[in-house]
Amino acid sequence: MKATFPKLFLTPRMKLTSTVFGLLTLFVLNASAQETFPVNGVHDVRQVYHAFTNAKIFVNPDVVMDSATLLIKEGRVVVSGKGLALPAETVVHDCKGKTIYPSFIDIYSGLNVAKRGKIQEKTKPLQVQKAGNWNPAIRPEFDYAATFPTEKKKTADWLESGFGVVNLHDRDGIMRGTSSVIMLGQNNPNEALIQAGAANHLSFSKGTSPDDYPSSFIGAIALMRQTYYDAKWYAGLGATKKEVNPSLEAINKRTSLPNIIELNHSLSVRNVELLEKEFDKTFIMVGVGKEYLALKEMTSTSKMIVPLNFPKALAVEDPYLARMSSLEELKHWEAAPFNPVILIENGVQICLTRDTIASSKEFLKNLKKAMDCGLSHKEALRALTITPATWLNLGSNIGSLEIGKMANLMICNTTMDQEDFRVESHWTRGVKVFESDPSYSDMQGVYNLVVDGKDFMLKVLPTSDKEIKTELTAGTKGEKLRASIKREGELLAILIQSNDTLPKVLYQLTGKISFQGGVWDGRGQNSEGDWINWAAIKDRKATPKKAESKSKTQAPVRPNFNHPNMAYGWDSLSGERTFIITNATVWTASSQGVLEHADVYVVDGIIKSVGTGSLFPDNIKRINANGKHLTPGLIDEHSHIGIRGGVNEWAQSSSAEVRIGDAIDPWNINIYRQLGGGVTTAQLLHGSANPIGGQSALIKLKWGQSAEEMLIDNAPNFIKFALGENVKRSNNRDPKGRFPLTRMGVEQSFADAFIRASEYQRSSSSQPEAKGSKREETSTKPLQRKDLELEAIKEILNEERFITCHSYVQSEILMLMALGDSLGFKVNTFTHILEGYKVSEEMRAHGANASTFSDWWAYKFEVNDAIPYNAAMLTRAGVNTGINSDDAEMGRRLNQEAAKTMKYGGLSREEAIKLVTINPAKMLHLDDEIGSIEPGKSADLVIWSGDPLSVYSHAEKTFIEGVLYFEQSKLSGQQAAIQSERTRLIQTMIQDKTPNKKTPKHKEEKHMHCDTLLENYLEE
Amino acid sequence: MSKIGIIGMALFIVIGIDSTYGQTPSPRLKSPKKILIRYATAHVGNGEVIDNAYLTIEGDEIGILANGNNVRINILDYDSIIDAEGKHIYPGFIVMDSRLGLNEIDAIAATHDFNETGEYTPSVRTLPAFNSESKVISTVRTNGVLMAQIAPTGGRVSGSSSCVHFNGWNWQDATVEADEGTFVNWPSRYGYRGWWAEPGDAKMNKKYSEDCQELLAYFQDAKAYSKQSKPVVTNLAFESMRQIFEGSKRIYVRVDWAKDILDVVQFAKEMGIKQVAIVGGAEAHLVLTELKESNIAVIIDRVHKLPVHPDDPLDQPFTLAKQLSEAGVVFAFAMSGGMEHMISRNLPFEMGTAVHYGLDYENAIKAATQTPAKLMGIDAKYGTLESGKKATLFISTGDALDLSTNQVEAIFIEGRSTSLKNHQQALFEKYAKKQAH
Repeated sequence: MKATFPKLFLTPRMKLTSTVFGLLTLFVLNASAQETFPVNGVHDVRQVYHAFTNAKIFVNPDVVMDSATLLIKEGRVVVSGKGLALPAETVVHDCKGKTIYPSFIDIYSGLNVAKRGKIQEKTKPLQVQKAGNWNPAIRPEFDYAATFPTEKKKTADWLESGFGVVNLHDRDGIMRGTSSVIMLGQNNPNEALIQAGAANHLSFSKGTSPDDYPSSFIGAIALMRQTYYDAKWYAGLGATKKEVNPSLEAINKRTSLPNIIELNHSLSVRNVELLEKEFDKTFIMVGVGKEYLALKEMTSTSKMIVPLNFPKALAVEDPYLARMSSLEELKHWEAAPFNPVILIENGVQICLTRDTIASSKEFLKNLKKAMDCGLSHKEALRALTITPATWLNLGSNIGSLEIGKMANLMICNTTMDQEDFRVESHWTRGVKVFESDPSYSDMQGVYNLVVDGKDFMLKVLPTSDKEIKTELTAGTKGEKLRASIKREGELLAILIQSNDTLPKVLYQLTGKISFQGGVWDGRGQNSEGDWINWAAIKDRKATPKKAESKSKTQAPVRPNFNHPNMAYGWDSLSGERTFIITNATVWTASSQGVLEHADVYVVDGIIKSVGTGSLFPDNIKRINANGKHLTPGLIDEHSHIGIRGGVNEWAQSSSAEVRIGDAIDPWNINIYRQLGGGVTTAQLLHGSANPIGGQSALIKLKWGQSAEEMLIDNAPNFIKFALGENVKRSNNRDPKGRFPLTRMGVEQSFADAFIRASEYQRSSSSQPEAKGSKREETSTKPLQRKDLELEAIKEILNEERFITCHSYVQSEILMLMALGDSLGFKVNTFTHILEGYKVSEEMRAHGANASTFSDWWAYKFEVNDAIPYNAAMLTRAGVNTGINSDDAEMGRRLNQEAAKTMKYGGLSREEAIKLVTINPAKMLHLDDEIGSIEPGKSADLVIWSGDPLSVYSHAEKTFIEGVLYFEQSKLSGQQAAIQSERTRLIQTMIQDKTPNKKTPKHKEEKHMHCDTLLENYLEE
Repeated sequence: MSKIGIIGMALFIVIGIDSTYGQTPSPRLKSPKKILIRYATAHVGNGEVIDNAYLTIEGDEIGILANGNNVRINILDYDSIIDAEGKHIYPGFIVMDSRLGLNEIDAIAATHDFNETGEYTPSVRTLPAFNSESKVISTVRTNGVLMAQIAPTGGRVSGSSSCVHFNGWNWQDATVEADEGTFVNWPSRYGYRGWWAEPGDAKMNKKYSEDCQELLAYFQDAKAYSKQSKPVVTNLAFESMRQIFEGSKRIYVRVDWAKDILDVVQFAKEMGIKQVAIVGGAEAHLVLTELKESNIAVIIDRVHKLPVHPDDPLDQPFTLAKQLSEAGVVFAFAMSGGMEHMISRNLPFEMGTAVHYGLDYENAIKAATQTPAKLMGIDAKYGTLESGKKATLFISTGDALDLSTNQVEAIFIEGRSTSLKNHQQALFEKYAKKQAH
């Protein structure tokens, strides 16, 4: 024997016993056997080899050998290859026809949790008081102790699904501490543990933390960001620091570990990329399975842990109930198994995880499904072995069967791309820890049975795991009899009875299986009790061959994806952004007023000219708008559509640090519906639950584009403020609750925030900021802690951020303006402002804008004096005024809401249209680009069927930057396409054989308003 | 006295009545006894329209309504004459399933009188709780909505609804028809976790069939009870349901999903209830034939709402009225849902939207006038501009269903000229003066 054996550890003392757990067999190591442990009895050192011969061996995804031998000793791979000479002290396992893989590694195993992401019990008491972060959802110092799962049935099921190694952490909180990598089947924690403190784990879920903060997705991100800034700052503090913070210390000590972050939504990929940029970190993301739709959000270095828990087919037989499942859901059902291959094709590195999949069977079925959908065997194996090992920095120890690596391996009946792939036995650390029950499917076939000289024909039918079904006849076509077979390993017991209602026992047989199932034989007793011989020989000819066609079923066809991938998503958009809209009634919303029979010339998405009688080159596309009206795209100054995970971070009186821009959901159907109402721009606002809310996002409703593309480039910064009943917790008067509880307290909240911010500004201009982890020795001044909340308020003071303030009654409106005058800030916009008409002069003097409802009132006490004449009166008083929606439904009829100001207060038609075009553009400081039809402005345009201020008109075409995003005449075609695609998918789903299908659920849309508070911001 | 002089005096009288502030009804005594409105376009409410209409109000009733070419009128017979050339007359619009007068401010529970505790409370009546002085009502009236079905919302069987007009000194004065209907909240196949702002996951309501069975059993017992003309032990709840089985009281069943609606159809058939309307009916367009065949009316809860499914046509709620109309299903309008009481004033505009999305204009008017009157059994006296019916009507400068032209110039409720003022207009006038300084 030529191979040289690497020097290995002392062999652990091992004793094998087998225990049967239901149908699965798990080998358990009995004794504690670490080197450091005292021995009770005689030392049992087993320096022997195990050889697996004649097998197809995947040493790693790129190296495979047929009819080869794998030799292991003392828990490590010694060598593998063909024609190896084996040492004498070798236990040989003949693996002819078998395939050997390195154990799979689940880098995000859910073996230790019941259900992922649903931990929301606030009742859990805080443990002992301990040092750490102020917010209990931040616990990066936590170490997942190697108290690995010992529930043997569950462990056996994981081993059966191919996983020999799992990475476990405590799934609770936003920063969850580190994980441990353990081997399965090992009985002793020290031996099972491969690596403690393997990776930092994070999520957007606050878990069981009893603190109200964060109460939203945007709050969770803000908390994460603030914590990373705090850690940076903390690292630079000297010995004189005021507190010792184990959480921040842990973050700083563990920067070299991989960071694994669990996504709550596929669109959160974007949030992770933003975190990476801001903090110069890298994250490994745990996907939700829909990341094939978030490719725009990925970068070339994106790393993704991909779940294989594909959605299950639903019961859609009843067409009424089938309506409850949306096209989006149906399409995802079909497309989900393509997720892994699409990610790989797009350069994303992936690992596969079994996380959240309940059974071994389902995992292997889904793995096969993913491979049928194009995931290659090689990539699948890589994603289950080498890649997770490498990401965990354990590539030199686990993940392959190369020399010296841990002997974690599984012996399988075939390769994993085959339908009937099974893990027959699983070895970790060189010890057999799992052996599957024999497969009854091997027994299937026709047997010539001879009992006591009599001929019978026995058919063993296709079988489930739990029972063996048979048919028995005397002779080849004789009397029908009954046979029931019990198998235990290679031993058989067969009972033959007559086929009567009260069956008579004819024979009781016992025997064994030999020759790979080809022959059964043994002894038995007849009805008289006489001992007889029997034998059965498999009739190979009569036994149906395994249906070859089954493995050759047509590969699933990859579906087309729309943008977004749901109803009304488009295949492709016309890139044509140069055209002339001719002969329209043009509501310019400028000093030009309304122009009849006018032409609007658009070049590359910019309005070039507006007017009548101009001559244009012939080759330019013309859109005839004769008899139609053209207005600027409508602007909704106050909207809450398309926001994920809550609009309110309400838990503190100021949440200036949160950003709505972090939570844009471009897949929200209301975006399209509002385009259909002529809206092109919206300010997505934080809610009004607290005095200082969060930072706004200004978006254009570019349906089918990404969040990043919807956000307006270089848009001015805005922040939401709020006054009145929502802020003072009118529905929850608990005196121990969050300050303030009265309008008196509201004033103080603002005063305090602004004074703190100006002091912060003063001190930050005189103090160095934390840069990196090292601090210049020469500096004697204390480091400035970056406070994201005060940073935002500081921007207001510096006129780099504008206020949109939710407001109702005159007292509070005057209060905020007076406070602004004294503390040096201006209120850019009062939104709602239903008593604005009472203080219009004061508002004009302050320079505030007004953005109001047309006619809402009577929903709260503070809107008792709300009047529909408000917008007209403010306009007359010279206050720049707009009409907003604050409501997804009203948002698609803003033109109608504007028209009401003619009825109430008598505004002119031109004044009315301005309320939803140029006026909101002005208050958003976007009037250089949008809001009117004037040369040089963006071609955000709406063609209306008639007078836009009439109830009898609708938007026919909506353009944003010259791109046609909505076309009313296409709706019926879109509807037909939705119908036919639904029908196709529903029919496919009905054919799917998933047992116990669930009835589709109706997903009621979240209808966000200012005062919407979420109880669980992660529920999607 | 010249003709012009008469007209001038008549207008003075009308305007004089108008200037009374607030919601209180105009005193009966000051009303002119005989009024002539002429030259207007009259929308009768039965689908017809009359140009150059002459309409007379005599006492609390309509005397004559006819095209000016077909009628001879001696203007000297009239105390007051209103020239309404180019203007429109409509029967007062009727909003169904309303909380007007039962809810003043959404956020303040003390102002709520519509949701009684208990699951089966059919004997509970909205009428005595109806606040005819509600500030909200006066803002609804000024857009042409002059009558309402005031309905309770709670439990499984909520209680009895009544029809009122908006010019009563008190609920008794406002009553048009007492206890004309019983409201039922049908169980939903879908139960929701979460709450209104965050509906979250819907799940199949496992209790659905149990709840339906319970409701059916309740009705069966009530029906059996109603067979006794003089029960030994009086059951107030069942007494209030007696007329349902006698065929003189309608049940209004709040239900949205197609499958649930089919269950309602089955329920009505099984119970032998003749007068049935469903309220809501988001998926009513899927079961048009069944609704038509079983003569079940649909009360559209809201035209201006979002489709219930993201895959639905964007305009599905806008076109529902047209779909019902084409299928011959009887329908009327409610404004129930969010901010339901105050938003009732937008009923005309929701009708306008339905018209834009295919409903015939006069059919839209009918669905807010004659149809609800028929459903509530008051059509003999209400709902249309016809001789002998109550003079409950309004004049609008322009098309009342369009936003900028709905300008209500005069309101008559049972012949009484009714104030055009309201709380909001008073504030407008007050602060307009402030601004002028």
